[in-house]
Amino acid sequence: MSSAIGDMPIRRKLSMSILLITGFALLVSTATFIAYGWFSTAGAIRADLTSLGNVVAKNSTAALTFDDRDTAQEILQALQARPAIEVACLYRVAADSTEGLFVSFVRANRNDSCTEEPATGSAETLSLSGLSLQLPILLGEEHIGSLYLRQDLQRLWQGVGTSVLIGVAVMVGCLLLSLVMTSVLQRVISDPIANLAGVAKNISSSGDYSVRAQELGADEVGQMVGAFNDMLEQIQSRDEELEKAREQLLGEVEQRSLANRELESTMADLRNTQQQLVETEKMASLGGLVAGVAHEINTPVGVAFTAASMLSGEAVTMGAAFRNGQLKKSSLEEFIHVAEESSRMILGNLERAAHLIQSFKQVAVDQSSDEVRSFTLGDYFSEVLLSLRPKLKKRAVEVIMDCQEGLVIRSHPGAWSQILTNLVMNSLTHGYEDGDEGEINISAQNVGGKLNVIYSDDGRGMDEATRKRVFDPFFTTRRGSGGSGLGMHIVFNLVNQTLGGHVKLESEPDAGVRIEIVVPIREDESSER
Amino acid sequence: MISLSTVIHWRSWKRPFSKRPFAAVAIAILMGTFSAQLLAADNSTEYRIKAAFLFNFARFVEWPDTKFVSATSPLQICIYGSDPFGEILDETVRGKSVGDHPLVVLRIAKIDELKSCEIVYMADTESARFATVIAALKGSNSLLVNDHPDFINQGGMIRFLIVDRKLRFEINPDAAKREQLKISSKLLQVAKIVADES
Repeated sequence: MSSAIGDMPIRRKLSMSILLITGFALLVSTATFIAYGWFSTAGAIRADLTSLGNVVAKNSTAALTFDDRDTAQEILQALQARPAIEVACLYRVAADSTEGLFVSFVRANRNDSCTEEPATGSAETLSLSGLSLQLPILLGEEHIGSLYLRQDLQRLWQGVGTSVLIGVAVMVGCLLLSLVMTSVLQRVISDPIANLAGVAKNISSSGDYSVRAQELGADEVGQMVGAFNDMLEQIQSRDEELEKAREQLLGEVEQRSLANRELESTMADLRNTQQQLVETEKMASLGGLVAGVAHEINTPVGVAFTAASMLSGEAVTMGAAFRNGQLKKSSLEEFIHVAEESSRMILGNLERAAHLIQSFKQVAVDQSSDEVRSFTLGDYFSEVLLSLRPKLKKRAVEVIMDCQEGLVIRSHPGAWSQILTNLVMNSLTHGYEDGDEGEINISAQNVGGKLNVIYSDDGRGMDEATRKRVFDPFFTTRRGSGGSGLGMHIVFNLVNQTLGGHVKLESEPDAGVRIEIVVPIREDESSER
Repeated sequence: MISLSTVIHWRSWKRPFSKRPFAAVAIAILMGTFSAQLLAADNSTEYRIKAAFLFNFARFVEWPDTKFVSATSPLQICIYGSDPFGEILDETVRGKSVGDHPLVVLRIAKIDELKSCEIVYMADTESARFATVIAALKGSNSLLVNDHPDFINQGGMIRFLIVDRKLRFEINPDAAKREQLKISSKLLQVAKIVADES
């Protein structure tokens, strides 16, 4: 029921409430009118009957006093002229003080009669059938009789009937009038609301926020329309701002993506450069190697050269003595001794130089190429260390190798030489001060099909911040004094990419460094030799 | 006290009484001495009613203020000549008053003394002296009451008579007016009105 009312159009709600209120007000006023009519008519009838009763009572005093029935009857008969009076009874107090019926008047066609004695009790009774009245008749102060009158209520009912008729007529008329007026007046209220609702519906279905509702007045609905329009205004401007912001955002995104592309190309350049730098660093270490090798070869070649020079000089001296015939046996014996000694020296030193060149050549070739071959790891590490001897010779740091006997692997020897060189050079550069004594341990084991290389020194170690970034490219603690920041990065790259393994570094300040390299061993490695 | 209605009934029985002597005898035997008293009291009953009427006349007649010595002076009912009422009238008016005037019954022999009376009842025995008395009381504002048929023609105001065995009365309003007596219309209503016979 309530939802049915709630679903009704405002127009009908308004009509309904106005009609209900009007109807109720009319009903109440009509009821009041009828009730007032009833009571006032009843009051008037009562007053009329009372005054009539008083007149009759007064008139009949003499008749009662002088026991004159005829006159009394005449007096009552006069009531014939009052059609409302149904019954009139006159009682007389006799000489013995008893009160009995004296004369009576009953209208024709009324089946009624008087009681033989006057009723005791209320003097006046109003019932639906009629109004009765009993009056004492006094002469002076003496009670000489009673008058009983009863009147029908035709006048009252007629009055009420008329009232009801008028009330209903007024009610119907007013309701019709208010119906007409409501249909006109409600438009003043409902039309703006319906208009607003229509506009709102339109906007929500079309999405066109440029539409405006029509303001028809400054009342609450008008204010609502104004507020609605303001809201539309705000939505519209917000939409526009949103559109603007969206466009701006699109532009920004475009700019950003442009910048991103630039950044990407920059990154690519940087990576390129890094690669180049790594290569350069490799080459630089190769250069270092060459310098070491040259230095190493210089000594035996120099000794051989001196010995050869000395032998040459002695040979010239011996040759001149022989042609002069001054060759003595002792001189010859001395020359032979020198020659033997020199030859042996030259031979030994040249052999040594040749050996050095041979091994350096291998390392240098490996370092400059990515060739894969089988080699004995211990021997190869020894050759690499040999190339580092010029650096190690100046320092009090001892390198101890502990490689598994006969461990042959098939791998990138250049990568390993590079790794070992970088690790040793890092230890020498960062781990120890000049003149510090130290010990570097290198071990290599085949553990469960994997090559496990452990490199450790007992140098100064590093703090956590350094350790965390130790593999980052270009990270160095010695930027000003020739560190490139690429050494450990190259180690990391070689282990991870070239060798397909992984590297782990443990270190604490003043506790040295421990580096574990684990790489897979290829299947054909052990069968090689 | 025997009521008026009793009297009337008694009178109405008279005829059936004669038609049904057996019943009357039976009742008389049954009632015994009481019936005998009732019959004997016939005359006195009539006078009881007359006494009551006399008293009641006082209530429907207004005398001029000058008639009374004071506002509380007694209203005198005077009987001139022989007294047919005896004690009855005295009993009837005892303790009664009209307005502030207590009722008294006086028996007057001298005409002069009648002048102060409000109501004067003259017995029929005095009919020869009616004219004299009426003439003497002229201007004394007294209500003159009598039973005699000639009385009302000579200047009396109220006369008792029997109609249908009921006690009724005639009133001569002109005579009352001459003595400045105001007779209530109600009293006139129940009375038979007679005019002066000039």
